[in-house]
Parts: sequence; C-alpha cells; structure tokens
Amino acid sequence: MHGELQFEDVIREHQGFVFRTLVRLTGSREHVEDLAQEVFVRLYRGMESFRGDAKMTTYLYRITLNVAQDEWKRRKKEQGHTSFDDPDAGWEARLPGGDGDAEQILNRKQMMAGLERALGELSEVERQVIVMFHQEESTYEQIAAVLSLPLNTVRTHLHRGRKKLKERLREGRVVCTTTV
Amino acid sequence: MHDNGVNCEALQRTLRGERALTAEEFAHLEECDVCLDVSLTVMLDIKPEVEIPRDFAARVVASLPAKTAARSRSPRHAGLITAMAAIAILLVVCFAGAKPADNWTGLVFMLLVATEVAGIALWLAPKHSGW
Repeated sequence: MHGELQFEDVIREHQGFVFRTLVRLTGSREHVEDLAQEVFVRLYRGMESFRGDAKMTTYLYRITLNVAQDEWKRRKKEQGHTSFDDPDAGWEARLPGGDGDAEQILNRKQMMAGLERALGELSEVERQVIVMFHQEESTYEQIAAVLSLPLNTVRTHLHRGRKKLKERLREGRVVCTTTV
Repeated sequence: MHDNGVNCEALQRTLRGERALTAEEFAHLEECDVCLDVSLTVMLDIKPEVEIPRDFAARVVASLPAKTAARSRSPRHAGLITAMAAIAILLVVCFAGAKPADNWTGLVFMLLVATEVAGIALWLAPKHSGW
C-alpha cells in the first residue's frame, strides 16, 4: 500500500468521490483540483497509521469532509457569504426531462438553484450527512463512522436536513411562481 | 391520489423518468409533501458532473516526495530523540554515574521514572504521525 504506484491506484479509485463531494459541499468548482490534491496528500501522510482498506476509506471520507469544511470557512471569511449558485454545475441538464418548453426549463432551473442555495444554508453536519447519504449512497453506519456520530444522530441530521430543504424549496417555489 | 388534476403516482413516476414537468405539476409540488419529498430525493441523488484531469493521480504522486520530506524534519522526531536520550542518561546515572540511588528503593524509583518517560514518548509518537 505504501508504494507510489499502489497509491496512484488508490487515487484513481477514489478521485471521483473526492471531486464530487468537494464540488457539492463547497458549492463550487473553483480550486477543486487543488483541494482534491490536498485530500490525497493528507491521506498519504496518514497511511502508515491504519490497517485495512475499510479504515482507509473512512479516513479518506473524513479528510474530504474536513478539507471541504476548511474551504467553506475560508470563502465565508473572504466573501462574507458563500454562493452556492455555480453556473457551471450543470445539474439541471442531468435532471429527468431535459427537454421541454421555456417555462418548464425555467421552473427546473429555479428548483435546482433553490436546492443549491438551500444546501448552503444547512448546518455543516446536515450538509455532509445529506451529501454522503444521497450522492455517495453511503449507509447510516458508514456516515456514523466517518463523522464519529451515533447512528441515531446521523438519522436525525438527515431527517432535519431534508425537512429544512423541503421548507426552503417550498418557499423558493412560492417566490418563483409569483414572479414568473 | 388526485390533487388539482394531478395524479401523485403518475407525477412521482415522471419525476424519476424522462419527461419534463408541466406548470401544473410544478405547482402541485408546492402543495403535496409526498411528491415534494420524491422530487427532493431525485434532485439530491444526482451526482455532480466532474472533470478529472487524466494525469491527476500521477501529478499528485509526483508532488508527494517533497511534502513527505518536510514531514521527516518535523519537531516530533526531535522530541522522540530527546526523550530517548533522557532515558539513556537516566539509566547511566542509575547504574554507573554518581549513584544518586544508593539503595533498592531509589533504584526501583529511577527505573519507574525511566519506564514512564519511555512509555509517554512511545504513546505520543504514533498519535502525531500524520493524523
């Protein structure tokens, strides 16, 4: 596991998760490559300390969340607020029903933009739990291990986070329908 | 279940399918918690599209030696070496030098101190090894 070639394989295996999670947790593609590099450098430094692949994956997840959190805080400090509207994110293009009339496309874009904004307004841990559960299809147990939280707390964060997202989406939609 | 002419089951299938939603269906999402929940799940399940440079892994690996070289000069190694040197001096003083521990009680005490210092040094070393 300590060989450079083997570590290159580790990077290739996990880089998709790292990039996706960083993009979604920071709400931007800016500097994502640098951040991903930071994740793998930290992983390399810690590799001597653990045994077994399962533990390494948990450690990698934890590093990724920490790096995203650091970046989030840094941007918040710099800008006063953090925008979750990444014009290059292109999620709406992958939503079901990519074709449609102008109003349908506008509705869809507004909904995705609303979701991105709402994600940015959640607490750090709620955002992490939601992204890991939905995007990366992690189990409650995996999330609990990565975040060092009890299983029930993970469930609570997921439930609360989803509830908040729905409330924000509903509020957002009300604004959208009255202005469109 | 019907609400304002929109069938919830059909809408939930549409949300997971290919067809775009109509204005009525979008409006329905505001009122129907179950359909909004499905809509939220569908949106959250979408993985952001990312472009990873082909040589990303190779570039990361190439950047590693410089960073790990810096690590080898970290202060924790100096601390560990100092602790080991202190133990060695303590043992020399116990058995050879000015004999501050001239009886068994003193000798046992000195050995206990040396063991404790060694234990602390060994305990702290892995704690700071990159985690």
